[in-house]
Amino acid sequence: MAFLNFRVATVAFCVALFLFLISPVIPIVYQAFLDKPIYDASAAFSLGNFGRLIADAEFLTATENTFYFASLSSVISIVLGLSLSLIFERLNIPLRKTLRLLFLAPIFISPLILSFAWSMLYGPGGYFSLFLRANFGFGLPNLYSLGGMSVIAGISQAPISYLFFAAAAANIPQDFERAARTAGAGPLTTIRTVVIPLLKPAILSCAVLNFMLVVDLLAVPLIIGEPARIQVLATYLYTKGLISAQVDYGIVAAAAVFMIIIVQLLVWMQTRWLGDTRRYVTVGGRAAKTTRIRIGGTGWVLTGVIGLFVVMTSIVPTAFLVLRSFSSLLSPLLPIADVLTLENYQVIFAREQYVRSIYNTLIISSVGGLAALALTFVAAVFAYRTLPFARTWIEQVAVIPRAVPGLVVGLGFFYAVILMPGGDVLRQTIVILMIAFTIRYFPTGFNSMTPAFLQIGGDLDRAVRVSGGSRWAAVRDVTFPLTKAALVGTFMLYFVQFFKEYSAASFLFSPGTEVIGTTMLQLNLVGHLGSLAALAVIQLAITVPLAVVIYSRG
Amino acid sequence: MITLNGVTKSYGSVNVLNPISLSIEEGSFTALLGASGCGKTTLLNLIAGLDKPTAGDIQIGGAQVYSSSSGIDIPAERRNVGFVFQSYALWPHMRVIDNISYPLRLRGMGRTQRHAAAKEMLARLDLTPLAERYPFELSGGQQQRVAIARALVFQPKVLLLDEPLSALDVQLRERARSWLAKLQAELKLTTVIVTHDHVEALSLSDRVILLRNGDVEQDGSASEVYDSPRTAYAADFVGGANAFDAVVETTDAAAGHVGVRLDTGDRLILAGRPMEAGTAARIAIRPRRLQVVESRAAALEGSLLLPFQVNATLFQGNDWEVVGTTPLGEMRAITPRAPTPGAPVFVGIHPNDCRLLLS
Repeated sequence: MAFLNFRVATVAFCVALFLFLISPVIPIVYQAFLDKPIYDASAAFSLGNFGRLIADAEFLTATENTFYFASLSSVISIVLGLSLSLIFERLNIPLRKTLRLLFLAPIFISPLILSFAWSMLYGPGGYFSLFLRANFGFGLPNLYSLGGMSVIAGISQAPISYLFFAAAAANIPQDFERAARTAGAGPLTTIRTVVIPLLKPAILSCAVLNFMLVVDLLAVPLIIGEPARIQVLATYLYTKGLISAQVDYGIVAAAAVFMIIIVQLLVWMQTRWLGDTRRYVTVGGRAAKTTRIRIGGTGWVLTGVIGLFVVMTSIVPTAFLVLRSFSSLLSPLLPIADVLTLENYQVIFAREQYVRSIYNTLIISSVGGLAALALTFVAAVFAYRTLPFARTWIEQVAVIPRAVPGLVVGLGFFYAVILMPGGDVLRQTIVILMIAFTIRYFPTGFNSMTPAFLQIGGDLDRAVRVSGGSRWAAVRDVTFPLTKAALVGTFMLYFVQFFKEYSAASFLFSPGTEVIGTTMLQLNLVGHLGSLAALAVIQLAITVPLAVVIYSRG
Repeated sequence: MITLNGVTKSYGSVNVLNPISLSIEEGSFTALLGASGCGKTTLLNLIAGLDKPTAGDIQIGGAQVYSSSSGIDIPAERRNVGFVFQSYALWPHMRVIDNISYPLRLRGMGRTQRHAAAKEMLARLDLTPLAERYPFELSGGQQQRVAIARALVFQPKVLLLDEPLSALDVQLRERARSWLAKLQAELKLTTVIVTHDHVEALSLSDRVILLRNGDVEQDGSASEVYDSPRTAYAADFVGGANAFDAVVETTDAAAGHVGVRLDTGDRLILAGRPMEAGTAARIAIRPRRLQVVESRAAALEGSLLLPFQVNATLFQGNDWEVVGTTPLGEMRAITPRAPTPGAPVFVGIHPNDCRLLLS
């Protein structure tokens, strides 16, 4: 009987998790096939939305732009990520650890802040552009272009590619490389003929991952593309569904469905192209300590080049943002001493709405992060400590939100609360943001939790059971203490992600539930760049130390 | 062929290899034998150039490949050494034929030529039908042979094998062992194998180097190491042994005899190098040489008979393993017949079966 109940509980949890994670998608699909807004009782089934969508020239241009934007930034991200992972993981260059951490910086800076900083610095009217023009007579290529957008997006995604390749390269047993060395291959030949071919599936997966992330990226097109009127799908959804005076529910939902289909297609292509993955899965081999190849003078050259890259892409923009936050206006034509001020921060702390957005962000990141952590832990326990079907099921269900763009999560939830009885009350609180963020980042959190569960193995739990402990005792006394490190890591991950999140929030926030991200977008809209910089600096001050802890491991 | 001179390896303050000097004959088959952590794989890696010695010189085929004093360090890819990894390390993205011809490609050989050479090697090792397969499509035994083919195809000066049989199951391992012995005999290639299995070491190689905690414990022919272990550790590690204490009483240098007294007061005359009277010694006897008998008449003439309190009797298929207590301590015997339960049992120790150990 107890077994039966336990089985029922497992099935119930599996179903509930599925419904929870899929919940933003259902109202969108529903709305996409309705001829009137979702809240209108007289709405009827219709395919008209898709017809209007295809006929919309703006949508077609946005789709085309999205394709170029995502392709170009994926290429930039992969080239950077792959070469840097080979350099950092395989060569012993001076200042390796510091450079690695600085290269990862865009992950914790967030594309939103990076875009602000880049546009203030490298944009057509930016400080650096003006400085060049004033002193050397030439400027920079226009940042407000598809190319400029792709460079920023590519650089801000590069750390993700890097982490992806570093993990993939770590899975290649050292014996494969050592075997190539004894067969007569030098270090570079080994990388070319053994390491890179073995990374081929990783390159393909990484390309798909990058493409998906860029399709979902709102910050860069909004801040860099909008001034040049370059629209992509994300901004199309954002303007049509949120900014526009007359929101066309049907066409927005149809566009969201289109985005989901694109992402699903990418996932499907990825599995199809790879074929028999066992050709790449590496068998056997004892884990040996990785030895890095020492290189002489070339090492310093590499260090110099990478150093210059991180200085120009992350350090200078961030430093500039800090400086900007303490000044009324920055221009190479004005002496800095004249413009220094604390006014920007005074504005932030004087307005209730700004203070509240900081407060809300903190609560959402900590309380929401803890709630998300609890759900992740429970899901992992059900997946790895109960019945075999639960593992297969939960592992597949956990990645669903990855195929749903963040904007779509926000939009879907927005529709869901319209339909839900009492949804309006929920909409007035930050709980709705916590739920939406949890759905959005669940795949990331679950991924960071699983290795711990796989490592400690079920036998340790079963040992509790045969010693006379209940399932609960096994989780409490063995699983929980042994996964503590992973729990802390996962919480920090949720905290940082929730803190940075803006796209899912942009559809869901209302007066009283603003977060830093949405406030920054509004400040950008009205052109209060000083206060915007101040808010960005506050966000960085809170998230960067945590992110450094997370990413300096390994 | 391979000469090591004062080769040491340490990681920080941990010494993995204490200074080791030895030289390996051209065309010989040498086993580096030892328990895990004894430094045998490290030694092999140092020869191949996969790891750097802390100090010392290494020569292969008369050429200096490493010297800490003169700063010579020829990288692995230029040492021309065939290496078979314990994991085989077959590149999973290359077919068998590509795996094998890869070293030739690196040596600038043209496509048709290297494929011909690789095919010849495949034929030699009975692998021809597998040429187009990927490593994951091979069985463990086939993978092992492909790994060996890859190590041999470029006609290396020496062949180094790191536990090449340990990934195979027991039956396959025995077949692979005789196959390997035959192959080496045909090729006459200087071969060094690392193993923790004394049966493998004894049956394959002409020379066994037993390592313990980074030192050479014993170095000699297979029969020497088995028949005349120098230490209790060597006796126990190579084939297992019962050891007990004794004190030297008399020495007959001319006859090569040593007389010892055991803790029980019994006296034995053993073959051995002269030792000073009063020296504490240890005596070893193989479990298979220990006679488990129920009467004096059943024991060999001249054996010392001790009462044997049987604690466990384990059937091993062909023989019985009997573990019990004697006045000299616990002993293990391998015998064709199990002792009758309840009957008084003795162990018979014949002096010719005993070996006098250094410590």
